[in-house]
Amino acid sequence: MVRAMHWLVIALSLVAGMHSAWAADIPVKEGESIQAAVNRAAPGDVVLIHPGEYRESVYVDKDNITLRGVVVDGEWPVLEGEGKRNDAILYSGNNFTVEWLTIKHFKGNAIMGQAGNNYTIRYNRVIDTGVYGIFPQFGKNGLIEYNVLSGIEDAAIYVGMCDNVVVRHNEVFDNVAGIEIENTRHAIVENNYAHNNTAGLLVFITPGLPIKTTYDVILRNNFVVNNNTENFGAPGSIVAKVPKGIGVVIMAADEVVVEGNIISGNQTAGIVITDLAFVTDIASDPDSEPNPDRIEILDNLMFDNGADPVADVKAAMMTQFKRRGPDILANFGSAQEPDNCILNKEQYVTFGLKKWSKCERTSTADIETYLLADGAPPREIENDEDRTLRLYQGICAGCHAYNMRMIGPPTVAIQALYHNNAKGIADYIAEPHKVRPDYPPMPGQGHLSEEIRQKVAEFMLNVKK
Amino acid sequence: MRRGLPLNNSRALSKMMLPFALLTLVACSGDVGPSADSEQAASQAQQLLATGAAGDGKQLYAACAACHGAKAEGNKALAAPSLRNQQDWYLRRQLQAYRSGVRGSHEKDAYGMQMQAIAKTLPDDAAVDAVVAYISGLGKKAAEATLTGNAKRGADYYSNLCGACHGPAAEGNDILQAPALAGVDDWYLQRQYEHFQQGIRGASEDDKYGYQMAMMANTLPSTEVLKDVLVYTQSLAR
Amino acid sequence: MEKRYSARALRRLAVALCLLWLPLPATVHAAGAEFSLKDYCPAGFQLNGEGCYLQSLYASYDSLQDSGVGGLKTGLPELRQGFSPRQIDLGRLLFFDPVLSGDHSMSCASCHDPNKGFSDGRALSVGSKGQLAKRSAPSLWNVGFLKRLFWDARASSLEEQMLGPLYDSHEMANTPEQLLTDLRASSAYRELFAQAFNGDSSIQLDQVYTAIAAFESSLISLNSRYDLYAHGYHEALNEAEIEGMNIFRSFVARCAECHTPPLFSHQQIAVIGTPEPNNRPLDPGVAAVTGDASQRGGFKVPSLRNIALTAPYMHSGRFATLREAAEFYTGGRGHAVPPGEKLSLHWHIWEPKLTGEELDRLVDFMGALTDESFMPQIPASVPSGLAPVVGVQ
Repeated sequence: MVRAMHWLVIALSLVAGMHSAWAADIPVKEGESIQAAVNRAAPGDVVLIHPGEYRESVYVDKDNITLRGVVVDGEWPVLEGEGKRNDAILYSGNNFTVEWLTIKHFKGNAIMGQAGNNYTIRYNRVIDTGVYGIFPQFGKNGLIEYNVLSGIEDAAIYVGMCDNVVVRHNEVFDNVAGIEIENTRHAIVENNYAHNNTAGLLVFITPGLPIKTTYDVILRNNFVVNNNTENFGAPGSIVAKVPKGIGVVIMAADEVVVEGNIISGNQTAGIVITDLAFVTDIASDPDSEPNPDRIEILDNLMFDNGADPVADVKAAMMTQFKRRGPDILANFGSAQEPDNCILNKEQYVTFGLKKWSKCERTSTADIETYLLADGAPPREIENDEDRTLRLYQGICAGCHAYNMRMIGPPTVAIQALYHNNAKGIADYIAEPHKVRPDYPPMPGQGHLSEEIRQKVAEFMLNVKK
Repeated sequence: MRRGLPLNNSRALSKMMLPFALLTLVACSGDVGPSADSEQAASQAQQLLATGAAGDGKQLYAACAACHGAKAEGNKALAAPSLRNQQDWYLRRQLQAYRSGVRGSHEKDAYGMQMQAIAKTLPDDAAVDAVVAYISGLGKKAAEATLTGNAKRGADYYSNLCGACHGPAAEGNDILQAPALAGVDDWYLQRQYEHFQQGIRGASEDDKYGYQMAMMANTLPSTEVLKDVLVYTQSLAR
Repeated sequence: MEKRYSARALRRLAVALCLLWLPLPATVHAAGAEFSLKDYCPAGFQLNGEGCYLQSLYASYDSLQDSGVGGLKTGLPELRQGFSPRQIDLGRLLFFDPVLSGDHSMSCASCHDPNKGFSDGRALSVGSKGQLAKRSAPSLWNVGFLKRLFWDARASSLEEQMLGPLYDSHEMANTPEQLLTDLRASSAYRELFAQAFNGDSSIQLDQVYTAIAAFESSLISLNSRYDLYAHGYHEALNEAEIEGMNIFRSFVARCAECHTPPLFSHQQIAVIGTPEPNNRPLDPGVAAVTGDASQRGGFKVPSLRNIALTAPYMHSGRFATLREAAEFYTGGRGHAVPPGEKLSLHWHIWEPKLTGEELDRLVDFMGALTDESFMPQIPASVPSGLAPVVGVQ
């Protein structure tokens, strides 16, 4: 029976089209631990999370891992934070995929990435997690699609300090910020539905971060509708300073294209373009270039924006003897400069666009995607030989020079003492004991597997002049 | 029980072969080779051992004294090193190495072959232990320095290459089974280093510790530097 | 692979040959001691041409926009390197030599004591005449990676930085003229400078600064148990430390947002509003340098590597333990800001409501960042003939 099941699994895997011949499915059922499955998983494996409630946080510090929910008869696997767990899913590995999960009530983020490249985040429902819903950071080449996120007190989808990202087909509502692209380059935000947030789409530079620029961002074919929710951002957070009722905010970012969107019913303004002065109460950073440059607003469908602008915007409009707010507002300062451009300006209620020029292009259709065809190159050391070499150079060679005394005895003496006896070295370094009165004790390397110790030992015995 | 009598065939054989072997050696040794005095002393030693008392280190040592001197202080003229600053475990290991043929079997190691023949006349392990105990009982005494060189440069090389096993003061390292160098005759150490280098000593992997040293014996760049190192190690002798 | 290996082997051969065949540097005698500069690189570095270059597993990884920040497998920021072995070793001797201070009572190692994580274990450092310095002495581990130095980030190079302590009347209280006079009076130093600087025995100030910068840049700590975890050896951290790491990088505690791996600092300015000790007035930090009011109370984010060795913590040494320092962040946004002060507090300063256990785990994790395997040798004597000075006398 077990055997039959086994064959069935293999057959199903083949049907499903696995990425790798060695990849395995690791099923997790309600009452079991997803983390335990991740700890068992090898690169290429898929952790299959069956319907049920999982009260845990999961971290993934390996490459090529997929967390895949299994939805049966409309029943989803749910990660439940109970308002006390930090983040639901934290990953650092490359080529990470997370899909088909419902994530609720965490204190921090639902899905958070730190430096993982080639990530895919899709088909997830995120409800009322604390700070951000989906937050990849320091990653290159990522796809975020078909997620539904609501009730988040900062940004539902927050792409921070990334390169080459596509955010598409997501629905974000009842959040403070819908989708944020921050200190990020080469991003496309398309076909999303951002409604009933405090602000819908935001592209900006946050000062004081180690990566300073945002440029080459395309916002196209999105519905950005009725983003009038009262700001419920945490005190001190940057989004807490964003006035309610804005469809699109572009702050200090460069080369942002806004094209083919339906932007309506946002009560302060449809689109706001501003420099860094928009956000007050934040320490200035001389290395952050504060001006929005080379912004392009191509054709968009905009109506019913600015019906009830916040006080600042109302005051600005009053200077032009207008009561209602604008479809497009270029804030005082550099946002009003002519390096920014627009098509068919006369269609919209605008403020501060007098000097803007007319855009030369009419479409970004020639740009299909910013995802990298071959993915970002792997960060991992590719093979054991390289790993052994770096381990030796990075750790052993720090103390053992070939034929001179550094911190430990010279390699040549170790080669003599352990001639034909790599295992002797491998055993010794697991639990070193003091041998020489005038040398410091060697730090133990027992955390390295026996196999790796053996390889490094063999390497050391073969180091030549 | 067996004392004094050449009951063991191999021992008897080796005794008979000795003069012939020594002659051959002198002819083809890489060293200058044992002098007539040395040969005479060696054969005397064998006679003495053949009739000596195995349990009595002092009596056994009398045989050794012919070359190594009454107080084990060595005799450069006979190319016999002082035994006074060598650890007992090292002396024991070497005597056993001679007895088993691990040391002193290379055709170019004339003195080693001489010593092997003598060591083989020690009747048993107890005799080895007894003679070593007697030598240890004579106490430490540094051999006289005979070489000249740049001790500072020697110290640098010593610290970088040799000290890892032979210890910060060339006092040896019991755990690593590395013998003391300080206070051992420098001319003897020079010859041994050169033997290691030339594959005369420690060439076989069966000689674990000798083989280790042979692997290290190409690390000093020249005879000059070797002498510098020996001048330095000798300066550490107490 | 074979090819790379041979290239490496060739470089090793070069190192070996230098040692064995080149005449060893002349020995210098001073006050009964002998000096010669090492002609090989310090631990972790390899000689490539004339200069020493760091060998690290982190070189296998890149970082987004070459920023040197990210997550576990992330490349390092650029390191000041390429100094010659002799320059580094000369810097080491200078570093411990009290001849660098005005009254010959202090060395760099007085406040940057290798036995105390290259800090001094004090809240505020003490100058040569017993005066209290304004701020706590920072650790020098990994200082060669930093683009801005001092708590208030006012120096942009190690050479620029060291002018502060050398000539500040509250610190080593020397003058450039006296420093040169003292060094030039030493025949040992003249000879050693000649060895380090192409035979030039004249001793120039910029050579002094270069040598000290070379030594400081060689203080590398990248082999902690955390690093082994980062490189993929997950067994290197225990359960409590992994739990601590997950709190550290969570978006609740948010530690990693500023103390970002691999250096555990993103090297930016942050206004976090830590309290001053003993009712001292608020330290304006970066604002005193730039005049920008929004940076009032702002300081450069320090690296957390070897942080367990360098108590007390913060610019004023206000917190005696790591536990207290961690607890500050959960005390409420601005809870320690003096009344009447309005600071532009960093947005990551919020109310994470960390539990006591979580704070303990954070401390556990920070302990796993300790690594002193490349500790340099403290010289037994220094060329001036004065006794080397280590730690507060």
